[in-house]
Amino acid sequence: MNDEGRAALARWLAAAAGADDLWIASLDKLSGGAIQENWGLTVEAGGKRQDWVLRTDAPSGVSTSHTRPQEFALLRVAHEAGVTVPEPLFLCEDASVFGKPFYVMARVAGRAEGHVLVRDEAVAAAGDALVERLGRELARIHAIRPPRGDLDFLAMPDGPPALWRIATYRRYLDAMPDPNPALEYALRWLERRAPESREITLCHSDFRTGNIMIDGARITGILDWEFAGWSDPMEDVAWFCARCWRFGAWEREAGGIGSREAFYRGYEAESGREIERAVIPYWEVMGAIRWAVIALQQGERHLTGGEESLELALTGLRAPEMELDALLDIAAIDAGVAA
Amino acid sequence: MRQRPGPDELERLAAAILGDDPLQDDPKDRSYAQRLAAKALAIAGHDRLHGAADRTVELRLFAAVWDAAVVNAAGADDENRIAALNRRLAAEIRAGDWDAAPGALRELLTAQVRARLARTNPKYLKSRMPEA
Repeated sequence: MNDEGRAALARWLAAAAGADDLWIASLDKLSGGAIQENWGLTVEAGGKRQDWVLRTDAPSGVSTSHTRPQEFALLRVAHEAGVTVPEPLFLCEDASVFGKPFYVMARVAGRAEGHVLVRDEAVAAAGDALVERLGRELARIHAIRPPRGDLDFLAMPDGPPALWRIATYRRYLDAMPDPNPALEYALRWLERRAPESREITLCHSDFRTGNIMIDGARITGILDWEFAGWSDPMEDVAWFCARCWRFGAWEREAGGIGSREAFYRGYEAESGREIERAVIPYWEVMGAIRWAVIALQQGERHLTGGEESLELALTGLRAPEMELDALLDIAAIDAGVAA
Repeated sequence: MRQRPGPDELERLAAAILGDDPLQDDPKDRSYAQRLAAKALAIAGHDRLHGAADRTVELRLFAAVWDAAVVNAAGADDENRIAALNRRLAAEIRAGDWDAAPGALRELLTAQVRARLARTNPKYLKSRMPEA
């Protein structure tokens, strides 16, 4: 970013923060973020140094994700509901300031990378206690119920959320050049067994290891709200436990961090409601299919989307891992031996 | 089932990353980009060794659920036959035509997915299906 752009950003931040003497000490693009771009931002105002994150669109955002103003609204609602999230500070919808809309939130300490966290000693030592707290965090998200005027941009499923998801994934598959019988089979299986949802709540829809910032054994922030929406809360519970988000720590069924029962215990204690254990395997199959479809979409960004990238191409080739998970899980459920 | 990219493209992408630098022998010494390149080369190597045999096996799997005549009439060559048969199978599954025969279908699909995983992630396949 050139000096002029930086000065414009500093002026806007000073006005938003009500601090005339605010200046930008550092502004650096952070790694990661295929859909969004995050910038580490350190400012000084009134002799006080503050670490923030500026979040804006990456050049190739996935069309299904929310806009930054919508994500900011979600973050505010979650923050007010007591969910541990980075505090949302300012929203700028004027593209002339930074080239595109952005928002600023407090920067929280810790790490989020799943493959690192599941091998971290402090995380392992805290395992069950940590996932119990994560269960409480998820329950606080699910306490947010429709209707909400400040979340009126979120679509409401016009039937069982499971059927809504299935229709969406079929639409995504139809947009791809190659058919996928294994995914069609799993979707058909899911369609024939779609549960009537007991309730509809706000769902994070990507609540998993990798999107949770942890510092030592402390949860410092639930991140990445770009897919949040109204759905069946059991979908979120299952997504956190799905095999594909254990990063190789298969035996620790709650996110590769702790036991499933500890996670459930925290959720039930906070929400006052029982986890619908019978439907979790169903939603885990849905989760495997979802990740397979996302992987294929990422691959298509390389194959047909004009973004040459070996990383994207190899992500697309990961789909069979989730297809096998789904096939094996379906076989186990049909045989009555699912977890 | 066709999986893209194929070996030529994978090798080209890997070469673009590696440039003139050889891959480190010890995987632990490789950068993230080099690990991606190594993975691409491994998949391409599998294709070179097993690609034709994999297509033959897949056609044999189809012949077990449909008449050989149906399989042979599906396209001009193996690749086109496989693509056409997968398209037909996917459409039939969605339409519910296979609801009454889940066992045979699951066997076919599991064999397909196993073959694709043998190409892209044999380690994961082994962890999930040690007998594979």
